[in-house]
Amino acid sequence: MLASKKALRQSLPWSYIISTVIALAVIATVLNFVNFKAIAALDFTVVYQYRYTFLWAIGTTLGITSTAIVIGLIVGIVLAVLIIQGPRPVRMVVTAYVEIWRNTPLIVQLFWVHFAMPVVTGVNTTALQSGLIAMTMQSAAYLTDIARTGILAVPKGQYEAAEALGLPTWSKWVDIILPQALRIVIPPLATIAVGFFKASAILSLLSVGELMTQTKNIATYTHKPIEVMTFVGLVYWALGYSFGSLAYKLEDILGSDQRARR
Amino acid sequence: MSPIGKPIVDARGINKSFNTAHVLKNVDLKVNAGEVVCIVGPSGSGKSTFLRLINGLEDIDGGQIEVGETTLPGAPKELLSVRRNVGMVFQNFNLFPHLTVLENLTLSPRRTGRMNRSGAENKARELLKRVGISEQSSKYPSQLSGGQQQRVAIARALAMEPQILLFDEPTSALDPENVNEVLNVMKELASSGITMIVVTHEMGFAREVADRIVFMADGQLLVDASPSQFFEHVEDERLRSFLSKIL
Amino acid sequence: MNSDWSILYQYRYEILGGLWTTIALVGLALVSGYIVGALACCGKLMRTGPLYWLSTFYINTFRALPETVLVFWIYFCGPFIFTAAPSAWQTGVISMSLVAGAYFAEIARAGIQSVSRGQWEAARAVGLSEFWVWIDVIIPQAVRAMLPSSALLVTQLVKMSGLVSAIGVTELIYQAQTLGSLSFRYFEFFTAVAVLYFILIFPFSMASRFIEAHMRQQIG
Repeated sequence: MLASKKALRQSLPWSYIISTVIALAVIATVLNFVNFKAIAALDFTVVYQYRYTFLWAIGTTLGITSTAIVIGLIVGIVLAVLIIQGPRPVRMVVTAYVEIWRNTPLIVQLFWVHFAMPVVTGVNTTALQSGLIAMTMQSAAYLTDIARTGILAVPKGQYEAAEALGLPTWSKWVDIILPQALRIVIPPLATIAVGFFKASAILSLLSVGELMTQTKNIATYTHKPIEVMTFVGLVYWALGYSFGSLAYKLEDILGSDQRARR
Repeated sequence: MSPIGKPIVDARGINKSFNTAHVLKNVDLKVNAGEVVCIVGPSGSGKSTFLRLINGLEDIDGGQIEVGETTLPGAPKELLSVRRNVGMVFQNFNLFPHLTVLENLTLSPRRTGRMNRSGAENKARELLKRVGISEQSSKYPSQLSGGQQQRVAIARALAMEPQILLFDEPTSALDPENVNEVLNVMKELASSGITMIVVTHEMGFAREVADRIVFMADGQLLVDASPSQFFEHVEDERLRSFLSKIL
Repeated sequence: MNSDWSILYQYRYEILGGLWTTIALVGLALVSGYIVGALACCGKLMRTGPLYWLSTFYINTFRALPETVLVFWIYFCGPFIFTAAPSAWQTGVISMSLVAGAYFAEIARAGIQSVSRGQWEAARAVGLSEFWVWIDVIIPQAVRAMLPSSALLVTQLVKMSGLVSAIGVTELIYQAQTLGSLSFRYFEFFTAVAVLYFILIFPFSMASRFIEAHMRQQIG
């Protein structure tokens, strides 16, 4: 492939000329629409001015995301075990739950929990509570699937060995199967976690009070949407990126741990 | 045995490096039309790389190879004409999995404008019959055994009516029971007079079929001899140790 | 709890209108996303040069940012920073197309790179020119490899389309909210909308899983 790329480059220098022209044309088209006076007038001190609001909002976003992931993971593991080992009607109910929550948008779930569920339960929830419920229920659905994949990836011999040792069912899962499944599950779990961090911005449609809600509030209040939203975009990008790298590190550490034990 | 005159493949002073690894060091090889040359040697000796230089799958770093009327390295047009004159059979078959057996054979003759559809299909059927799998023409490669896939690959290489056939360890990826069906097809081809350069570990095949056997080690071409000389008058130390391991 | 499902029939045209807007949004985003994504994928495959840098920047930015931030950024900052102010509908289409393009570029790149080196070599060895190597050998196999993730991209875009209700595009969620607040029949409307989304999304995610299982079976 590398050599072929080299040959391609030698044989088709015009493809590089064309690509450069295209790139310049795209940039020029965008720049053509840019209002440079507005850019010259940008004033990023507004970000500093509202630093405590931003920090609080970032904390809220992280809190909602991690709550949803942690509770979702616990529920997801239980549901995954039920799908694998439960009686048929239970399996069907759990599968239906997972499919419904995976195949509808989070916004619909959010609005449904906030506006429609009180009609069923008779209990009104605050925006924040609705947001937490919707995020947790969706993360439970996704993590059920991931936990199931992880559990099924543990070799059959491990189950047989646990049974041969006469371990009780509880111990078989907690001591033997789940620790191994957890290792397998770390990379997709990290992807899901970053995905939910990003998705939490959707909660601003209900003014839950997390980062994006406050961003909209500040942008409207100060009439400085460009400064505020660009800054927040960078914050989301940076946090998402560092979670991703952290997950890689974690995978590395767990991987070497496993190797050491062998 | 081979017609006297200009060699059909003439490689002179070939050098090739991958990053820091110098895999071919000043290799010279001439092959006359109609000759069957087997290249043997330990793995990593550069023999596969050398084969891949002959039809331009890798770029030559130093030296040049004359193939028929064309010289490599050359312009893209020359590279294409070399490739259309040289058929190649890979270790892992590399059949096109999304095309039927027949389409695998007719693709190149049709795209290069050498034949029309019916002409290419007739030719393909004839070739499939020659390699003994005429019944499988509408199947997909994944439905065939390894030996059958490799025979299709040989037929595909023949479909462009090349003057030269290159074989890159054609039986190494096969189950033992499938090796002979492929070797038999290759023997039949060798007796038909087409020029063949075969990288192989099958010493029995080399001894029986080759006009010359070439031994390569550490990127150098160390021995170039007829089969009888090759096996009986071993003077090179590295060849002796190689043969003692493999035989 | 008393529910009155006849209200859905009463407002069927509004709901169907919202459904149509959602489908149109996703359809437009897919078509323009494929074009933008294919271009960005070409840029990515060049491995160096201005188009490569531009494509890399574009793909990384639009995949990493939350879709909500993008939609609001374009809608609120667009009129200030650009001399052209897009409407809500245009903002919806533009932001969804840009997201679709960024994801599709990565899907296409992964598809092309999934074609083994041996296929390139075999295609060249039989004497095909570079153009026909791409058309006859690489692209057909890459497209097959791309099918499962392309189907998932459709589900992702349908899910994203709900976001543009926030800037006033009258798609399904906007309609459900408006009708719900008019009639206080939130339960009926949001349940109906949830069912409609499920009907839109579920076939694509099933298709994705089915194709993937099928391909794995063929390889194994």
